[in-house]
Amino acid sequence: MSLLEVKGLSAYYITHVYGVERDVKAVDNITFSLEENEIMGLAGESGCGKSTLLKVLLSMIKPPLRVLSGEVNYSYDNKHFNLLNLDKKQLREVQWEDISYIPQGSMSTLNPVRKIRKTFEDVIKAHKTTEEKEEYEKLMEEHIKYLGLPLEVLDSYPHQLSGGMRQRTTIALATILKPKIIFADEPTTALDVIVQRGVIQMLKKLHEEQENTMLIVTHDMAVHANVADRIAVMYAGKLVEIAKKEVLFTNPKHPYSQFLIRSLPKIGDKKQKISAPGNPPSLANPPSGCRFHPRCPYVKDICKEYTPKFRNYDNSHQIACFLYSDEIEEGEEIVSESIGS
Amino acid sequence: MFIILKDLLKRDKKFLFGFVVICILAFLAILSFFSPYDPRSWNVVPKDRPPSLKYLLGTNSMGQDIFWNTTHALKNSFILGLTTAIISTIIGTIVGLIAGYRGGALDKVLMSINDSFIVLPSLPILVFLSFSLREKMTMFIMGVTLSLFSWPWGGKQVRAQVLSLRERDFTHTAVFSGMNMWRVVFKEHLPFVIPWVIANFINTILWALGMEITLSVLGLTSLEIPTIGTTIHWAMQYQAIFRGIWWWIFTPIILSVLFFVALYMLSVSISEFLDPRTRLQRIKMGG
Amino acid sequence: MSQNLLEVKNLVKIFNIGGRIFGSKLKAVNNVNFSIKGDNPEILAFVGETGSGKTTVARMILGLETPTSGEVIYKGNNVTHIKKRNELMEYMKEVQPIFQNPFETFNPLKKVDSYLYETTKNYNLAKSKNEISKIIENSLKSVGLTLVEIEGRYPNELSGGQLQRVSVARALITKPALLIADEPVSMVDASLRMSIVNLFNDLKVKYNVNVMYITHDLATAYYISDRIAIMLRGDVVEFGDVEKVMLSPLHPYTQMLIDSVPQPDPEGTWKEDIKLSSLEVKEFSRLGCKFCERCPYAMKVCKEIEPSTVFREGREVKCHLYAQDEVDSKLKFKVR
Repeated sequence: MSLLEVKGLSAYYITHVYGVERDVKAVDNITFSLEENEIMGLAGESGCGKSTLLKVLLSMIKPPLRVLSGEVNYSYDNKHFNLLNLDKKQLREVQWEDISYIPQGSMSTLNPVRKIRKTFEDVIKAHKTTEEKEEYEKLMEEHIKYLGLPLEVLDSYPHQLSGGMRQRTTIALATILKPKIIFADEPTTALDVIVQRGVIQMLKKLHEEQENTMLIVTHDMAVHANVADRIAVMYAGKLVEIAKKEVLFTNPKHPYSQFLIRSLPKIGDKKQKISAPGNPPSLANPPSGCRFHPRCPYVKDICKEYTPKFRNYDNSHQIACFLYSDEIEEGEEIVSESIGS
Repeated sequence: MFIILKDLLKRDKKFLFGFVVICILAFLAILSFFSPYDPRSWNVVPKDRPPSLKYLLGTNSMGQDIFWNTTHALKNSFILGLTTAIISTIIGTIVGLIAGYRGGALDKVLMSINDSFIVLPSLPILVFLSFSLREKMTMFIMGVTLSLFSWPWGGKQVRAQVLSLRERDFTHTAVFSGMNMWRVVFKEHLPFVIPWVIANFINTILWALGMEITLSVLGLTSLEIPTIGTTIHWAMQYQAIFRGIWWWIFTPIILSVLFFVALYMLSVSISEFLDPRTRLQRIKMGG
Repeated sequence: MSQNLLEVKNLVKIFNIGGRIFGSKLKAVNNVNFSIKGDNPEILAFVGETGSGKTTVARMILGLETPTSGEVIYKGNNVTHIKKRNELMEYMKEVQPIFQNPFETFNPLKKVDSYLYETTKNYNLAKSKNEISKIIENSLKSVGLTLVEIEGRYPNELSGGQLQRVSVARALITKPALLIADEPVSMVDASLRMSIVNLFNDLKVKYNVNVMYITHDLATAYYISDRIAIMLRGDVVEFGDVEKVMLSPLHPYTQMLIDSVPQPDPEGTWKEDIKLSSLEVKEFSRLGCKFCERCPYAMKVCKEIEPSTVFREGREVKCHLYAQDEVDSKLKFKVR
């Protein structure tokens, strides 16, 4: 059984401003699974819904975000539950100890008016029964040292640390209780190249030693290349392809993935790179049928009317594209006669 | 313009209330031009009559019709409020915009002038000025005098806004688009600053009215001119409450409360409407 | 023309942090020297991490920041401290900026095309409405947009990629000789990024525009630049032809930087773990070489004396290792 199984998840931002209702379809009918001990990368550009998906997987759902349908089933250590059905108390038990989160922009997890040490203490005290000062101080210091951070960090305030240092401290905070799953939202964005390398190293080290599972969300394909086992590509609120890293980089199947991979510049390579034409769509008003069709060089008539089903192409390779299958997404009725090129 | 007005009236109850009340008061003020009595004359009607069909708000102890007197009072309030607000907002906004944008020596000079005026104790000086100018103190002159004290507050607020706005990239884009200081300040920064400007405008009207009432009640203004303040003054002089002539003193009080509340409502709802953040949301909505 | 288009001489910028009594000084830019010939248009990249000073250098050239000392000379004229309005307009006509955040480049309360009209009118490039529209259309065409697409739109109605293109179109209206682009693609979506980067290349080739491309992204810097300057905490540590500097870097910092770039290659893994500096701020106030704390080849002299810039193997490098005449072949480094 997979560690995390997501079935038919749909979550929209529903806003009513000045009498106009708008549905931003940030997560639309998403199905995938996360296996134990793997690192999955979630790729896609800004505004494709990946951060929203993450929020739902952590049950951080606040209006105007609303889950319309679907299940988020976790299964580990004899625990099996649908996260969306948990109440607040049950959620708190699970968060941070079993499931933890590294948010985008490190300033938000660290309380700006308290020393780092205090923030760590709060987390430990809230989840462990030990109240003994020596025990948790030892835990903190060992963890910080293990991750290669100087001990002075504990006695500093967040604003005294550089961006990179703060990000690494946030990672330390998210992993101090050795959670089973770690969700990271753009952990390396806005960091310098050398610090980024340090952060990626840190994540890999934690993965090896704590034997946990990670889902890393970032738009930077180069980061995925160096960290992920499998990569999921999202576009306009839907999953378009999931494949093993090597497969995706050498032979991407979905046209969007192709553009994504082939447009990546590489040092030592002056060959011309081309990016996808057109613009990413608005999630409030996405194109009909397959959401990529206005920009797709292989567009067919069927693509304009129907949404392709996200299905298995191969062993551990899933894709949603009419180039490889005629199956239409469930829930869509066949209206016109123009299916099947 | 009118679409926006209709929109506001429909959506925002506060705006609706404020707008309607101010319209009524303005209407009454305009009525003053049709007043059958000269507001300065006494004994044109029987004294101390309670409200009736003939004398809508009754009469006072000086033999004046309170209703028509009040219309003059409202007219004078509008003149005073608007004069003070217009002068002080224009000066304050321009000073704030330029000082904030230019910085350096110009900023220092303008701000020292600004701060000196803030520090001046307004009430004692106004008392003195009113006392000296008594007879010649028309509403207009009072407006000008009051604006000397109210302009600096707007100046400081606007300047604070501009200090942060001028560092933003779009200011640089505007400069590199060849826009000179005046164009940048009025076309780029003013739209952001408008909510404060309008809130300030309305608050200045409130302050001016309040000041007028204070000075008049103390007997320091030209007491022949009918204003809300002078009406209260005279009513108190003649001890209207104790003598049971409640219509004389309640009229100005209720009217001033209505005026204040209506202005406040307008100020709040207009500021909300013009706040750049909600404005952006509305633009996104396409409306 | 024997005159250089742009000459930057001994540029220094010191920021005062904190109050006058207890504050400290931060030397953000330390003695930067370079020039752009201008006879053959080029793309010059300035690469560095946060706090390297690259943006400060750009701002000083644009006049948005006053240098503490040093000069910026454009076509023979000293433009470091321009006071007169007409001189400023002449300079801005030739040197235009592209900013990092396309959503901040334009006033969110104003329509985007207003800036295009302003630029055309304020520089007296056209009189009649027809002429103005024509100039704007041409400019938009050169970035792959049409007036119909963006007319009457507010910034939040367009995507980051479109906005950045409009920003470039606006900058091109005055037919500048030099575009200074500060991180122009870092906030643009990955799928649109290369089209903007390619656009800069087109501008150089088709419209003879020199571009100063400031970025922390080494991959795109390699992709379009001709020459590259590597900055570390205010110093230019290596500067020269991009093939030389990036494929056979001499300065240990350049080597570490290039080695740390994650390549979009599933095989690409780093062979060694990196040691990150403890508290980066300390590096600024160092007396000798700013990199010596992290440098694998640090010598005693590095901690005490600031290295001078020398010319080695076709590029400039600021490092004590190369102060001698012979270069130790052990220190050569080749990218995989």
